[in-house]
Amino acid sequence: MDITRRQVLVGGAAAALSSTSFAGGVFQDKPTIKVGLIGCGGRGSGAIRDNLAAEPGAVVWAVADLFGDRLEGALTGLKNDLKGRCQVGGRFYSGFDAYKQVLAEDVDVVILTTPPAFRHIHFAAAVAAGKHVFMEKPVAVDGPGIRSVMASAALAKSKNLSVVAGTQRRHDVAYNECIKAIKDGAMGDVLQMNCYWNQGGLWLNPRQPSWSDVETQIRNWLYYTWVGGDHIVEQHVHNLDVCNWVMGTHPVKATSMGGRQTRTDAAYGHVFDHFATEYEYANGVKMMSYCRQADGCASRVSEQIIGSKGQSNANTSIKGEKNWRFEGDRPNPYVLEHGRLYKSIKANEGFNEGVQVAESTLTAIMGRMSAYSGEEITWEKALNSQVSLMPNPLGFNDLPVPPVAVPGTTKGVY
Amino acid sequence: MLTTLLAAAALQQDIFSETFPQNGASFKMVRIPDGLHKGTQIKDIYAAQTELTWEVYEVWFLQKDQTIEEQTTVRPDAISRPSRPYAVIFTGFGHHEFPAICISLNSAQEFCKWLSKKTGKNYRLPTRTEWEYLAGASPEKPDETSWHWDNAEDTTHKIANKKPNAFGLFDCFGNVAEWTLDKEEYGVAGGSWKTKPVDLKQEYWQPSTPKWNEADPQTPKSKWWLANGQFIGLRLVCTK
Repeated sequence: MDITRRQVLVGGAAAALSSTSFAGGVFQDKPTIKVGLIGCGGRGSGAIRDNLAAEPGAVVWAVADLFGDRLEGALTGLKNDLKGRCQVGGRFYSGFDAYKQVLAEDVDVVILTTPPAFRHIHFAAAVAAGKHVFMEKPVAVDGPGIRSVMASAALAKSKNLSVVAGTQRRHDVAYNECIKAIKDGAMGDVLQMNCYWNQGGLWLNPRQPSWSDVETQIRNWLYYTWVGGDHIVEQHVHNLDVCNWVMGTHPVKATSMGGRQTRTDAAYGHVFDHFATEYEYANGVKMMSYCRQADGCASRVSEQIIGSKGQSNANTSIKGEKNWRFEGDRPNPYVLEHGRLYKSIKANEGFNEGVQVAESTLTAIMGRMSAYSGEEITWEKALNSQVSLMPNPLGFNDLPVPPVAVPGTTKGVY
Repeated sequence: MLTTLLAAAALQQDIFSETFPQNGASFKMVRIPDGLHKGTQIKDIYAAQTELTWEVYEVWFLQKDQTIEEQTTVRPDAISRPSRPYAVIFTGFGHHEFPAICISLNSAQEFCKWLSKKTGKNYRLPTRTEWEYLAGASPEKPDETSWHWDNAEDTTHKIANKKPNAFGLFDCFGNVAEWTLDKEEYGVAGGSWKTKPVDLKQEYWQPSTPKWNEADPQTPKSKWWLANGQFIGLRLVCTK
């Protein structure tokens, strides 16, 4: 911990002696907030910069990634871009246990940005270690992972730790204004919702001779359900989260269909390339959800909320009896979400999005379970699923790819 | 289309087409009469009748002109092509016959290089002065010529659905703002669906800014796509 004259004068010797004793006003006087980064891919490298943009007192203190090459590349970039605010020194670690080494360091805040499969493990360890957390969505890929996140979120609450998730629409000023207006009755009662994440295909890292099955799958995590959750979970969770936000709760069941038509090469693992899901909430409101990753098609990433007196895209417009349109500055929500984290930490507020993001992630998982199995899936069935997708033991081993799920035939998906 | 042909006939315009057999996409290039604008001689230039569409852009972006073998073989002389956008970004702005959007300057330039190599012609982005000349006078009745803040419903629209200008070019003002490139400066001209009609002027030009890619959540940020660039596209010019 850095001790400066200001800290000694204002924060007191007690604060200087213990990095974890910054409850209440003490944190405000910490001259340096030490941030650990766990997961150094493109998103993690972006998130750490967003974090530092939100808090002038923050520095990068320790970093981890499963892969040494990714770690090295990210660290070089951080040193070049952040100069003095990159204070990693020798605290950079690779391997499956690298997160433990970051958490053992004197960090105040950790950013969890590995592929989704590992999130609940890292979150649990971070909360146990008393760290404030920013974690990317989705936060799990299966029922056991969701239960773990919910338990860790509750523990974080009891410790008054702050937890923010990477569902950045929750921190976008336009979404906030619009959804507040919807909740205030600007378009009457919500009758129906539709949401979409339809886009083209994504990147692929061709297998190298030295890679094991597991390494290949983690480096191409989008295409293996055990690592990424499939794209309904990995991407579409954003739109599902907006609908849950509007409703103030999660759906109670899902009936989904999907398949794999355009992205059929074995290099793309076993995930689907499209899903269409009907969700139903406890009050009977239905949400139609669509997601697709296919080249050369119409793309659409949005939400539509239909009310008794109008409709809305949930962020820039409400049309109906009363018209409303967002106009004005829309600061980068990827920075605002980190600003919210620091606001909570400094106010000792215990702001905690853990359960909320777990519910939205499970909403998506419920849709995937229904599409893979062909069955209607209830919230309880998804939440209480005993199917853990994580390989056991986890290591750079052989790992056959499961066959592409066939609705009505495939078993063991929930 | 009839309007276009009539306009072309009236001007006795020289028009040529590029067609892509891979997906049937095509576009037309219109000979712009020589002239003088702001002291610069504009000469021997063709301009695309429309803003660049997704169908044409995708021949390049999605490598539709290559076999699988060609796509997977690394050749040092190859023109690079865009990465796949991750958290993007086209967000319901339409596809078939809609203008390509979120195009970075780098993408626009690389696309021109590829197209030039493909066709043996010299495709490029217009300079700001050239753009002003080919766009012509500011629209007197923006609703007749342009998709803008008051009529576009916050989105792009299919190309060539409004009246063309005197040279037979569509959507110079509004719909998507179009890249211009000079030695010292680059930006987008003509305004877009986000532009208030009062600003649809021949001189209206927005300098490039990092804000156009602020919402790319990855680092390094994409050099191919502008995450906040849903109003940015391009119009090709060609000097044969």
